[in-house]
Amino acid sequence: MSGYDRALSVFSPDGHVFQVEYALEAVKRGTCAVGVKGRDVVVLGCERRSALKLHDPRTTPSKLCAVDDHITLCFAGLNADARVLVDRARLEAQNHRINLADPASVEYITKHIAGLQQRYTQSGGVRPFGISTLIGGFDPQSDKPNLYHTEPSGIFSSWKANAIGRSSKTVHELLDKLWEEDMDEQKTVELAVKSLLEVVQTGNQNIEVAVLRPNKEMEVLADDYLDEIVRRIEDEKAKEAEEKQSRRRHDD
Amino acid sequence: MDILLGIRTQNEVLLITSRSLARGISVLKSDDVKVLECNKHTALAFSGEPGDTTNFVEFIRANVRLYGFQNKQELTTHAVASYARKELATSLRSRKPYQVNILVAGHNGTPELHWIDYLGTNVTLPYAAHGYASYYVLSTLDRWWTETLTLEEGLELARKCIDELEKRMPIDFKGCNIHVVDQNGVRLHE
Amino acid sequence: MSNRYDSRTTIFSPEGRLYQVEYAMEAISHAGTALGILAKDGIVLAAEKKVSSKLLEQETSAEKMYVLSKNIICVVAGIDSDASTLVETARKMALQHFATYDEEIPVEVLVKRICNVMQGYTQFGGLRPYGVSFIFAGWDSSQGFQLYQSNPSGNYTGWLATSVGANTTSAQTLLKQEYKPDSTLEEACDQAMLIMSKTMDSSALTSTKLEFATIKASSDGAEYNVYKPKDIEPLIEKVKSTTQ
Repeated sequence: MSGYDRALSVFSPDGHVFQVEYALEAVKRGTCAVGVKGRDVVVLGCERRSALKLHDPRTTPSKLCAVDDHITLCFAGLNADARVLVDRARLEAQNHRINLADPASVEYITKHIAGLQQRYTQSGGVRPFGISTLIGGFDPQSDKPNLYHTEPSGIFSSWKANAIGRSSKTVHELLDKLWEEDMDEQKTVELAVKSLLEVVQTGNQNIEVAVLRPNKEMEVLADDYLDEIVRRIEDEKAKEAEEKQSRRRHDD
Repeated sequence: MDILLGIRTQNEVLLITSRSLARGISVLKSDDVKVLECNKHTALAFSGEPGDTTNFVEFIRANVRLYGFQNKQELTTHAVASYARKELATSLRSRKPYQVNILVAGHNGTPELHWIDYLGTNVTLPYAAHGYASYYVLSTLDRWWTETLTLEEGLELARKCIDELEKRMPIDFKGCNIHVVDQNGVRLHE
Repeated sequence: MSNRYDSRTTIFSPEGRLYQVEYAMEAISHAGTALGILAKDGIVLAAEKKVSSKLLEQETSAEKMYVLSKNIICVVAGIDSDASTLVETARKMALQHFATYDEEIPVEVLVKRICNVMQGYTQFGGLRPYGVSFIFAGWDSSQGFQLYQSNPSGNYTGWLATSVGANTTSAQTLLKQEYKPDSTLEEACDQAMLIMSKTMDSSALTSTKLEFATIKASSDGAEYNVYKPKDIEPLIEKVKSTTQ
């Protein structure tokens, strides 16, 4: 402490860049988002922003953002920061198409976003972006799923499944336990929804999920389809709990 | 000598473009495509100085796509045409203007065709042509075009125009591509 | 502790908060109440004007309602001078869009662009964020009537009915009670007036203390109407007669 966190981003004597660490706190205060890779699918899901009664669901901005036809991003942290960062990624995606005559790879866009985030930890008069992102998609003419994670510091990494934002630790543990190789689309969606339900109250209305498939635009799952999955998972959970209880009774 | 032709029918717009790509006295390519899908419901047909053309239409497409992604809604055909016109008009007053003529064809509920030249003229027309081809086909189109053409009738009219061009044009333009823009988007008609 | 993170440019506090932004919101919570209600055939905006003097000209000094373009109006709560510069920017953006595309700017596109400007002041530009919240009401051909609210952080959300300013909590509660999904603009106007009458600090509702505007469907899209004091009177009378 003692002033090393006041100037925008400088090292403290023990080697911390406080502004970046505090930006991570802003991420932790954000709503939760998850990404799960399946065999030939990537599923991104997030908590819908507090669905208050008077919110207009038609016009409230979504946290699932298409960067290009084949790349989708979701984020946790400051919404306004995310909007600006995503727009710059979209610009880069189109620039890539103009300059290279090909769509950008998911990794390229990830690197670009992470690079931007890094720049805002090392320039004068600015604060870092208060967001972490999960970037999913398929490279052109490929059916290998990609899922990347970026942080305010500019670090990026590739994941089989990951979670960011509020209670992401709990979700991460669940994903750690349940993720397996070669999941089909339905299983991948179910895992994403299940992990979100760990942190979201009253399920169905408060989450949104996008499914990304090779050489296709993302599909945001319709509400009633999502409801069905949520109900199935909740039933399963209830049954499990019941079994556990009856077993306990049996033991007595 | 590139051929650029647009015909609006009742439910679609047809874009007819020559397949030859010539430079000086040589034909470099006989399967050239002079139509670019700009967004899901809008296509650009282009002719002019080679290089300028590709550069210009790809620039327009990139910005139209960017608008779509950033604003979660696609530009209408009318908006695309206005934007392209504005870029050409700006370019005309620069040190080296784009020498590009375009047709903008789209379908937002109704079919729509815009004729735009390198001077920044933008007009909405039922049928339109750029370049020398216009001298040969406009009379044919004046005679046969009606407000209620079906796709088949439109294609037949296109055929008439191409026949006329094959008869009168002093060059071999290697046949024509016909693109159809309708409510389902842009497709190459076989 | 907190005062170490609230001077100079906007920076993160150890808990990941932006105090400057939170203080800006605090400033807004002292401003006169403003609200917006989305009806099926239009939108109504209403605002409380804090009249400082009887000598103030009423006819010419609309303080809170601004017309941004043919299809978008807004009401502001917060620092008026901050609002003025943003309104000017917004009008330029709207006209730029019209000049380029020959179409009116879609409501969300304008809202987003203004909010991007506001976001910039929380991250790199200037010394403090903008101290204003807007309620935007507008119409466009793809989404119809839309109501948005922005705040100094650069966030915005879409609403069916919303409020900002001094008595926003009570206004919000009343909106929740009163809001009917299928009400007409006329009904929404009455609701707005009723809620203003219940939430305003002053006891007597007068046209000098109120600003009122609507945007409604017209033959070529939408038309706005920023009320003159004499147009507000009948609405006040109506509320008075129903509440008595």
